[in-house]
Amino acid sequence: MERNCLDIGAVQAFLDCEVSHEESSRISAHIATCDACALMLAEAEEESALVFSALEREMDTLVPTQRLWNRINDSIAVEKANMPWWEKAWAYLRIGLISPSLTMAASLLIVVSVFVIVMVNRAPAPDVAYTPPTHTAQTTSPAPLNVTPPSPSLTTGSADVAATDGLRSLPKAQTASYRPEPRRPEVVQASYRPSSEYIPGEDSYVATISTLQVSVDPKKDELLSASERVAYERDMAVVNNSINRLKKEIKRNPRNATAKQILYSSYQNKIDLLNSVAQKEELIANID
Amino acid sequence: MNATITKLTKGFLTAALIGGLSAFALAQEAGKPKPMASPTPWPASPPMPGRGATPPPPQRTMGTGTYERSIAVTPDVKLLFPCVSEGTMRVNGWDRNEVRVFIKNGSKFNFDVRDSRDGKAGLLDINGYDPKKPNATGVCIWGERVEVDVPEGTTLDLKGKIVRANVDSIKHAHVKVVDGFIAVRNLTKGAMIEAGSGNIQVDDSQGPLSLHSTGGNIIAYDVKPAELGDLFHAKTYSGNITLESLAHRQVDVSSISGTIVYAGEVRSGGSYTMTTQNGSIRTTLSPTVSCTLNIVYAFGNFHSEFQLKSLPEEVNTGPIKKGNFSIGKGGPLLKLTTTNGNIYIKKAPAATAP
Repeated sequence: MERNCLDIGAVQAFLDCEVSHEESSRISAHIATCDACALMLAEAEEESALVFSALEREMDTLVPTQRLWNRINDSIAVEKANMPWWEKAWAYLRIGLISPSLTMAASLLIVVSVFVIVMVNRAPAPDVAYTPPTHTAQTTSPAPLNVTPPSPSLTTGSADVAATDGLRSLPKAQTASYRPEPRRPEVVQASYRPSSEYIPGEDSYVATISTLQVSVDPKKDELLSASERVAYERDMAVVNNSINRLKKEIKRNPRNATAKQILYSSYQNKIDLLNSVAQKEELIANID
Repeated sequence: MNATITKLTKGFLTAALIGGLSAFALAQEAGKPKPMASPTPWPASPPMPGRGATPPPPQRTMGTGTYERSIAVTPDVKLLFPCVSEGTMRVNGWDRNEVRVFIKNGSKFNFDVRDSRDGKAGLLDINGYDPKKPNATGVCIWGERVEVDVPEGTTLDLKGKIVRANVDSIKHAHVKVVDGFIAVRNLTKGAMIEAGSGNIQVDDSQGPLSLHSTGGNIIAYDVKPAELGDLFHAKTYSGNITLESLAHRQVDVSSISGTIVYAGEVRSGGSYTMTTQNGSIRTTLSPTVSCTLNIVYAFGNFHSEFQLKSLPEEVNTGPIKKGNFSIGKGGPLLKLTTTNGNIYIKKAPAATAP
């Protein structure tokens, strides 16, 4: 070790960029000629990298609040869309039943409804003498337009039945019990899958971009003019190209903090681009 | 015979009277000005590219006409145009406490005074008016030419679809348009402008400026802060940004695929951040400038005509370069970042140095 070798404090300060430009130049020049100090610098750098890689995930959790809120809101929207209809109905009922007066009113309504249904469905007993039936089943109970084609079980009150029932039978009005299959809306899921190939913090950007793409991609043809669309796709291609090149560079040199910084900035540009489509939609909606 | 002559005379006199009256009426009618609401065909709109991009067509069911109205207002009136669907608009400041609106070949409009002081409007909405739907709200204004004269202390809030707007000599402008060219000048308290795919131009103005365009270019020259700390912010995705003679000390400029051109001073205590993804950054600075230069460039090059005092901190190897330099005595921070473009720092010619 030479006489004017660096101490560990100076090396650490150099690594942390806490020294002045002149001092930094002096240290750089010294390290270039002193093997012992270069070794000490390499060791200190390795230790720092170890510590930072352990803490990096914690540090990267500081995502912007707005994006966090967007993600939370999107998750809630997807959750709501996936909720079955009976759960939605139960949620409404549950809120309504909290109030005793509402509960009482609902109970009364149910009782009255049941009573009315029973009264309506009771076969009337005519006091008049028998007259031959003149109506056919089709005229007394027309099938609803949105039900399946009439089947034998749905035909009601036919003349044959009336004839076999005797003198007091008349055609009955019955309600078809067709219940269409509930159509579940297709929920397009974002194609984001967490992957171990992401650097810390990158996955949150990728997730946000996936969510935004799901909402923006179907609208961009409608909202953007041809020239705007060309510019949008060109900008998107530029950003994607930068992201790919930076990822390659980071893969080659994982300690390249500047590359990571530019990568995050590129991701943010991509988010801004996607948001620009949504902002245009919002502006048009505001004016209308 | 006499009776016949008398009848003929009476008939002649009656006919003469009727003819005279008709001639007088016609003469009066001819002397009158033409009615303003005479229907005239609307000029064909320029074809808009893209199938869905064209904003909804303007509400022209009310017919076209030429209209003019004015109203007394306070000197610092806040003027709102909630919806201008189409047209060329000119807002001009004058030294009268009065707002005058003139629309040529366009819609009728209404003044809606939302706040007043001393019998003069302090907050004024200008909306379109459809006589067939007198109670309708949110009717847009449109016109081949919309001219608005306002007091010089006016704060303007304008929202539009396809609007080419020129704003001159007022206090502050807040303009948001989907498509169109926006030019503002001689503003005393800054502007906030958002243009979807149009260009933005600002000159001879002071105060905080926030300029945002998605696909258009941004040009600003001879602008300065009204107060210390006023921010200059410009952002475009596909357009270029050109700044000249900018006196703001807080400057934040960014583009994705555009080039940033800056010619002017770097003032003491200032912070200048210019970022572009795919374009170049070209700065032309005074030969006597002193600043701290922070540059980051990934896949491009860096050229400087100045003597850089510090060597770049080559902390990272590979194509990504980051450097801190000092020009002159150092001082205000000039931060230039590009991913795929080049960074040029040139000396301004001595004769034209700012």
